[in-house]
Amino acid sequence: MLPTRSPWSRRQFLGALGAGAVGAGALTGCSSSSGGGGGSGEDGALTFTLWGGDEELAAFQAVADAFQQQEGVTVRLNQLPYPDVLPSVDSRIQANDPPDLFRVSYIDLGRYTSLEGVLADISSALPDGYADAFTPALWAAVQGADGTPVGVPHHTDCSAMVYNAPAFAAAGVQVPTTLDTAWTWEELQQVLTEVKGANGGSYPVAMNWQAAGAYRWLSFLAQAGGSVFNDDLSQVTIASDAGQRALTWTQGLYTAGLHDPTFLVQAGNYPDEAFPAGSPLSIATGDFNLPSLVTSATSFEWGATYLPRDVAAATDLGGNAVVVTNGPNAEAAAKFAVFLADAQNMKSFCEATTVLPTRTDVTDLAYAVRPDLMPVFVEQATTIPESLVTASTSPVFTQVNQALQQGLESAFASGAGVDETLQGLQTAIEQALEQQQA
Amino acid sequence: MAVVGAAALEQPPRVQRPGRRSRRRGEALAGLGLAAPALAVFAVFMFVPLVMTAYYSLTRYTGFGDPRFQGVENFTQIFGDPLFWRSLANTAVFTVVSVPLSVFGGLGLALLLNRALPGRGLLRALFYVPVVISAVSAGIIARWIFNENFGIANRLLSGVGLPEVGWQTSGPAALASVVAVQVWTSLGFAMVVYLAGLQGISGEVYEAAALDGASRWRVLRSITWPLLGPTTFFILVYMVITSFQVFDIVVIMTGGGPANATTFLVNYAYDTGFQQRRQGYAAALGVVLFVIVMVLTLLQWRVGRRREVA
Repeated sequence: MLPTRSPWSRRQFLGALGAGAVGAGALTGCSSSSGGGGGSGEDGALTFTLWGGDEELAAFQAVADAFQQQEGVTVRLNQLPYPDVLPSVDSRIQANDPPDLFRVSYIDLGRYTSLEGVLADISSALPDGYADAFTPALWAAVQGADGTPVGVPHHTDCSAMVYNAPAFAAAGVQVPTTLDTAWTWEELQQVLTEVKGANGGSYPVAMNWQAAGAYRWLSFLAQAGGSVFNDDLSQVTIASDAGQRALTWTQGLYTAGLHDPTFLVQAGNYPDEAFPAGSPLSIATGDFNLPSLVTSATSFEWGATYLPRDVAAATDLGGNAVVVTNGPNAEAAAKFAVFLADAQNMKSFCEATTVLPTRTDVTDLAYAVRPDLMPVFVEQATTIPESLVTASTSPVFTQVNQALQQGLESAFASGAGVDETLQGLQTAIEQALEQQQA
Repeated sequence: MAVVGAAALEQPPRVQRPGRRSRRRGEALAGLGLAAPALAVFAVFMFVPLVMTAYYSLTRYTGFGDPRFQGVENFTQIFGDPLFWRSLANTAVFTVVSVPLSVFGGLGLALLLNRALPGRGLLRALFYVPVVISAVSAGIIARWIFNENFGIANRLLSGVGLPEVGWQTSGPAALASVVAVQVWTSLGFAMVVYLAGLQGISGEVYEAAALDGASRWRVLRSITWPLLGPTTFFILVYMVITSFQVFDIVVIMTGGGPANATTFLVNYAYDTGFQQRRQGYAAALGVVLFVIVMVLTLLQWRVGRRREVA
């Protein structure tokens, strides 16, 4: 067979290749100028990086649509899974291509407000008296290092107990209906023992301190009268009598066979995923989980009551802020943040997603899901201690949470001693504080 | 011959025509041009990050602002870090158990499915399915299978009269569950590569062995296994590298617990770099991981080459 001659000479081929490369380069130029990849578009659209459940995304989209109607500016929601949001935001900040706005929990906020020049000062976008409407501690959380506001505290939430009503009724337990009558630690331990006995040995409780939720253990520290830091965050105070009491009691839930041992701190699954299947029989959970529980826990009645108390009642600071990054669209993004947290939009968002407002002028909410249970969470939220808000929004809280994940896992899974664990936590947090101050 | 030789000697020395050198240079340039896209991709996504990682490993860096050079401080810390040693030991155990299971399991399946069997195509596809489903999906499925309270694994065990296992509360059991999922998801890959290797072995060799009266075991040991040497080498290198990079199934299944029993090197590096923002330290962990994998690969390569020479 005769070799066939290529219709193209090598010179022609290489020429065509070069032309193709130039064309591809030109196309790349077009694509970058049109703002692909979720970056800020030159069409003036804002990019808002966030995570959220179905109800939350629908509520955010409704506000974005209303903003578009009012201001003529499009807000594109860049939805990511929760664990991916901060790594994505970090990478984009490092690449000098941050989203215009992003959603961030209060416990992660400190690591951004402490960074110079990353977040934008939105004070010029605030109407007169706007800040006065917010809970002071939460408004303080969205202040940058120089004391200027960099975003808005969008909503808050907190943990309370959700219980399997037939299982608790089988033990003849009367569940507290007011905060004043919330179970003490000793009472709760007794109740859980009875519930376990009346339900064939099923685990009666699981707390929500898994993975990045390890900080929720600090509610128990606060109930015992303790705190992570002193008032001005200069000293670590976790290794204390209160710390010893809190860790002894929470570790005792595992050793007494009351806490479901499959829900340690390092876990791939969460109690609110298992509760609908009938075990554990009660969980500590946030109000934001009510919509998903309504659709998943349908085979039995369930109710809500307060977290237990010791010398005080206390719960954790949940919830999220929305912050504005320092970029070309900062002005429009600041306007959107202000719009998002105005009284009407905050009310609509909270009602649709069963979370709590951060504005004191947002009242009489008509919650879309389990409005009968929301008063428990609303009342429980009044017990978020000031010390916990200050600690949770500090720049070192990520390291505090990391230390808690390791320390509590050792105590709960391996039975590490209380004193040893607290000393380890004290040392790790002191080191984090020193590094932050260095 | 002598005449031809003399004639050859009488020929004037060959002068390289000027056109040939330029043609060679042109060919070299064309080759370089054709390889350039691949080289550019490797440079941007492989070599540059490697060099940057090596640099960051010598710094204290949060990912923001300027890295602060601090020499080998991160490496000194790593060698005194109990969590590093724990995650290294976990990764080593995971590799030592999961790689042989995947390799020999894949070989067994390939030998089985290389024969004329009814539904052979379907069986091959079924064993390959776990390779193409995402690790996250595999992790979620496995998380429910190994759930101590509801999972089917414990129900099956108790169904046959065996004691239930603490897949989520016992360290060794949790590690075993992750190994099982890793083997399940990689078995199909080893099977397909071995099938390709088996089909490259000439039938004549087997015929000769049959004529010599070799037993099946003898054929496997003395013909199939040695001739599959390059295939085994490739699978081993690939599996060792992937097992050192295991990440997603652990995050989904166990979160690294209980008590760090399933925390592997990559999980630890990710947590350090992206959760704690200690990117210099995480880069140093990456460098250590790179060196370990490179040493293992070189060792395997040397052993493989020695066997070829022998």
